[in-house]
Amino acid sequence: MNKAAPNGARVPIVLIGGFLGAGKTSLINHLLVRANGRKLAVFVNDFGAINLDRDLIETEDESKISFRNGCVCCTLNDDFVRTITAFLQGNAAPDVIVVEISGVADPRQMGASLVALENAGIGRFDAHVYMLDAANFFDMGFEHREMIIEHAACADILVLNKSDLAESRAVIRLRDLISDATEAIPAIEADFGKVDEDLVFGPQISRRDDFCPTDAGARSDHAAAYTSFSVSTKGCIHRAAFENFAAMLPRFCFRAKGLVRFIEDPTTLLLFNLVSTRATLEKFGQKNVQPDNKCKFVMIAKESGEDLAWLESSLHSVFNGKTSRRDRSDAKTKTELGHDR
Amino acid sequence: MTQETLFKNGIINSMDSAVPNPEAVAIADGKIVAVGSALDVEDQIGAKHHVIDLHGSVLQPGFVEPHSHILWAAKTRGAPVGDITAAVVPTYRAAIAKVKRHVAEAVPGEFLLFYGVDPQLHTDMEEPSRSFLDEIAPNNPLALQTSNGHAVFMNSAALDACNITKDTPTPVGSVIARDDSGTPTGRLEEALVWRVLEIFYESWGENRLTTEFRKSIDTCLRAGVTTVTEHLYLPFYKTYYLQALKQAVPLPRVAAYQQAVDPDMMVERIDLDDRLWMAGVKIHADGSPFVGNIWLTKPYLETSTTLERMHLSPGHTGGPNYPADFFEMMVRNYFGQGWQMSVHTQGDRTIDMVLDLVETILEETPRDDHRFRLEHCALMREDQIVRAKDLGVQCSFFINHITHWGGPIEDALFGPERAAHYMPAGSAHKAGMRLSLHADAPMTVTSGLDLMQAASTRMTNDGRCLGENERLDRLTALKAVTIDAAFHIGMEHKLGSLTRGKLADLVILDRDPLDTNPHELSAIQVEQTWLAGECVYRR
Repeated sequence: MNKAAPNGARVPIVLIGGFLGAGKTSLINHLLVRANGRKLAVFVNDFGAINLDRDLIETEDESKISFRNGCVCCTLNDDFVRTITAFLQGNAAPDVIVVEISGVADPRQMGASLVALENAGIGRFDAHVYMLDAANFFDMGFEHREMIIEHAACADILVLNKSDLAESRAVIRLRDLISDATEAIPAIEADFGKVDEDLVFGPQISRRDDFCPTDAGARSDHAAAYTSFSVSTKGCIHRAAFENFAAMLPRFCFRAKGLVRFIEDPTTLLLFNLVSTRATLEKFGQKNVQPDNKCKFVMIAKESGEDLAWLESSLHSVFNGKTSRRDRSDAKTKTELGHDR
Repeated sequence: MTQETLFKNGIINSMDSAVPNPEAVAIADGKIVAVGSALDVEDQIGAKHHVIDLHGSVLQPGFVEPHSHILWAAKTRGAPVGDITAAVVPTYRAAIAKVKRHVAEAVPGEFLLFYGVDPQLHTDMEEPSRSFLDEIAPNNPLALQTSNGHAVFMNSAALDACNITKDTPTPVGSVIARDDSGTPTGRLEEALVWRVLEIFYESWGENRLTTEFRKSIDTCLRAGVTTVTEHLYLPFYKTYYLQALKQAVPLPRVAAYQQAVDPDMMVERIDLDDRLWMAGVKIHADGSPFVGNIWLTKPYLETSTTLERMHLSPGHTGGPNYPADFFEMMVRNYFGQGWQMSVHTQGDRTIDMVLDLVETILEETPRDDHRFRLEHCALMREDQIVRAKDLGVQCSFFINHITHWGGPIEDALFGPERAAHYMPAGSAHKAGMRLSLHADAPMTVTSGLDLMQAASTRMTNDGRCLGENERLDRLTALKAVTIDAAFHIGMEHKLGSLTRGKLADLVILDRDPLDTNPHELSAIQVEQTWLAGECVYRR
């Protein structure tokens, strides 16, 4: 249950999990570099593991590194709620809070802390990304493998990291095992933790009127892995049509985000957020949004061939607006600064 | 007298209405020696006392869990038992995949047991047949126990190991499901389940149980729980408690309720310095709402959950575990010996049966302060609450059902009307009843704070409030896991409040449960747990 904060400014919280050596720090380094205009506040267990180009660092002290792109990285002490509450009291609210979960801790134990932050109007649990070491998974002992599978089953998105080093047979075996153990949780292959940042954070909703994805046109030489669709409308939409549309999204999308107003209640702006199979719809305040009737919606679809055309036409009919489409490549094809895995 | 320890500079919830919020509490020799204003308390104790500065934290009595199975939890869910509860393994398909992975690792003949198959939460479940389980594990005894513990599904090797054949008579109070030819299908229910699974537990050796028992104890201490019960006590359990105490393991105080399955059992008399005692006798009048073996006046809903996964017939109203006269013999015998009775009742028809019996017995042989307990009370009706109160019958509610199974309770089992009053703690409180709340470990995790949150919000895991009129205020909820729970186990004169002369079981919390958003009670941190005057857990 989400309770809307009065100003709609609850900060999304993204959890990054994974067993020791799975590549959590690589992913965090990658996200810090590719924040893409987002101001991240990242909380990690081992501060020393963050290993970024010195040029990116603005200031550094015992418990906090500030980066030139506006992101910060802080140590996480054992009281998660207090760490984050204290940080937000002393700093401007970031766009996203990223928290690294200890490799051996049960992620389910984060639940109560997340609820406390949500109820306090501080944060909004957004997504739980879990990293697996695709190259070494089957070399681990049975107990460790079972623990990893159990933890993975709590996540929204799985990253099969080091897939470049893994034999393709091992990756297929891991995919089969995960599919048996976790059902609907999407698994994305990556090297060096290089995952499309929009899969982690959700697509960005542009504030410009001619709404389109943030870096449209950025194409890679490789075949596209995902496709994103976006739409903006001048007026309100029908709630029932939207709900039907939203209900079928988990089958086709990793992530979707929208700011919507319904004809039934045109003065209320709502934030829709879908991560894997989990969707929320909550009141969004007036801060940072134009006082018009616009709805905006963006989604990242899974590779599903002919379904894409159908998905696009559904989007069009629900929003009755101009849609745009963009093929996204794997982030790993882009130039990166992070080095360790 | 040894040096006193003084607690001050914090919020103190004494749970004693005479001095609800004292400034200081002092303990010595395992007892509370002074409670009151800081000056008064310091006056009453020696000058060279030890001070615990609370720094604004909250001191209160240790939590009392009035219905649990602390040793049995270690047996049933400790390693190597595989956890397939829906919280860990969300679907039946995934649960079976996990079972198969374990079978692949096992040596032939190794006993394999999994806990948590769940017809309500594993919505893709199909009842695992004997032949299906034989196919999965041809070379190992394999058993899957339901998340409520009341039923198990076994393969042929497991049935053989437990010596359950076509010729095995079905014990009174239990079920051996059979096909048309009388051959067991692998599904067992009730007391027989617990008896035959001992064969699995024994196969894993003594050390396993000792290790897992320590974990079970740690869970309690981390949650600030200083008194628990063993609600299906069997005489051979005593060795493990004594061993723990002898090795100075901080075992919470244990109130034992010996399990009765027939009328002529010897109830063991134990009274070990307020650390372990025989509190009474436990009988299962019916089974689990999630298995379908409870007795109702109105039938279950007809849904895919009840018809396909629980295999109930349309119009199913269940029944009691024992024939009425057999049950009556048991109750008359143990109640007649002066024991406190603790009777498992879930369905309203079962509660009618038990209240009728209590009324009859009390008319014949009046007894003051008998504290006859009804356990769980899922579908107790308003009129039954009034009647129970008049008879002096105590009700303890298994409120965590709402959190974990609230969605299916409403949608799949009983419908909105009955769901709104499922585990009617609020009605019991309004009727003036002194109630307690319990987690029934191993079915849910032992935690007084979780119970408080469940009772004061009635929020389900799928995000709905199940019966807002049945919610408790925080003070009543806190009483229900401290002083009123102590009352239910007959120890309110020694436990459950910070009162001079009582035993020094305390807990320090980082926030005040009486002044915390009910939805965040579970997130309150236990800073320290003190048992019998010793700090036994520090965060």
